[in-house]
Amino acid sequence: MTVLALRSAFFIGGIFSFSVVAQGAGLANDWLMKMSQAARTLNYEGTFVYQHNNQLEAMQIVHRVDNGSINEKLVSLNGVPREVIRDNQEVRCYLPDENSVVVEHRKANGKSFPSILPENLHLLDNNYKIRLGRKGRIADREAQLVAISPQDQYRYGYSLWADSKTGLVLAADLTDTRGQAIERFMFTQINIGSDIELSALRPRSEGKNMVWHRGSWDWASEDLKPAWTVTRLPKGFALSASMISTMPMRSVPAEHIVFSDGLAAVSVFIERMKRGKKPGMRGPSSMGAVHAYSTVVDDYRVTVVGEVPAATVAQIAGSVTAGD
Amino acid sequence: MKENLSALIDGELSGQEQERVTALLAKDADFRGTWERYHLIRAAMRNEVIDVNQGLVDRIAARLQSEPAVLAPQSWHQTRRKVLRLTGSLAIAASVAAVAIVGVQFIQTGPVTDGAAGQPLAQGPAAPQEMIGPVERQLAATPGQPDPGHGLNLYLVEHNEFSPSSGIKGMMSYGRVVSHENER
Repeated sequence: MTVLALRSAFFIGGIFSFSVVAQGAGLANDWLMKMSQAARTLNYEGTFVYQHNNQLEAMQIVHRVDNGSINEKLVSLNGVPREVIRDNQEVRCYLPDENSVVVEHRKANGKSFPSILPENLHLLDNNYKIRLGRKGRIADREAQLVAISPQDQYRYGYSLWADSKTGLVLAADLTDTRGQAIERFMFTQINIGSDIELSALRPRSEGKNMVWHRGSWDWASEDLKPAWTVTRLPKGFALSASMISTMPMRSVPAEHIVFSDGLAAVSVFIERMKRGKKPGMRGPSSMGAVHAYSTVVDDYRVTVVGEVPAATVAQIAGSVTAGD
Repeated sequence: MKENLSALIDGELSGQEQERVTALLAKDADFRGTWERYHLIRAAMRNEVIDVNQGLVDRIAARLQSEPAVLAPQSWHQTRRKVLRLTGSLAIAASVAAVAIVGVQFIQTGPVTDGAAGQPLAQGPAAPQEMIGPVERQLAATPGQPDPGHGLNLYLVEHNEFSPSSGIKGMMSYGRVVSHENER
């Protein structure tokens, strides 16, 4: 009898601990969805710091939602006041130091800036371990940590701190496989849910004497089968979008193919090079946690960009070939 | 030969192979430019100041000494000073390069070779302090006229639109776009 009781106790205990683990992962996934939702649906404005390598910068953000239309602004608070203004149609980058305004069209017809979708959660679970972490305080608000660790060396890990009340991401660290932060974003002050005047979204520099560069894109090309393939795509990545567009400052259209593992994305750009022109970027480059690798295949420049380790973009860049 | 350069920088070459590559380094200005460029890129990627292989530089210097065709006649002492100056300049060039790349610039292969860092040893660059300006300009300007919009920024903006991780961070991920060189 006692043996039976013990066995049942173990059995029940086993089920209980299993369900706690399962529930933990489920809860963490719920938080991811909540963050994704909050980033799109809330009004907020605040200041955050951005740390990468040994550099620290402060930036201001304004995000306004009105009847489903989103207007947002990001301004650098140190050095040259570069800013990015975004609405449902376009992204405008004001770069006073380069005397230019670069305008890119929002692509993928509302599918752009993809959120964490329920149907992609399984993809995410294959590539990352996601768990609910401790509670803490960021920008004077109660926050919940969601820790995402990579299953292999092809991707980075994430420590995401979400506002306990609304789910908005208040801090985000990208970490390498050893758990070292390579890039950190953190709000130091934020107002969530307050009314925001449209005037707060106006750019500081009007761009009057600046050179405007506009891109364009071929709507019909959306989800077209890409003309190029990646033969050695790192494990866990799958095709998520492809299109043909002409980037600002370019005269020829480029093919843009996006691969994603559910959280990180890698873009492959293929542009025909003009005769007699030197390719701009070549080899590896990086910005914060974003790595890029540029190479030449026949008469084309292939540029791979993603918030993934340098080896991942290099492997992809090295295996881009024309045709299937 | 370029593979050999990589291997040399990685310290993977045998003594004999090392000799062969260094001999060529001493003779061939283009090759030397490539070598320096490799160092710059690697140092920039690692965000560190370049660690020039002192022994290697000395061997190049020695080789130069024994090759009057490459170098105008001058004392070993002068040669060594010039080589050491170049070493110092390289270190500064590398840190400048690192800063430039951090600010979403680009690794421009041409200018570094054609410019100050790739100058033949015999000419000897000016004092290290004066190197900062030229290299910075070389990295920012684009002789050889590549396509405009050479930087990572353009791609970054396009890419951001399709990244789920950018989606949950909202506009914060554009921080990488507005970020610039260390101007503090």
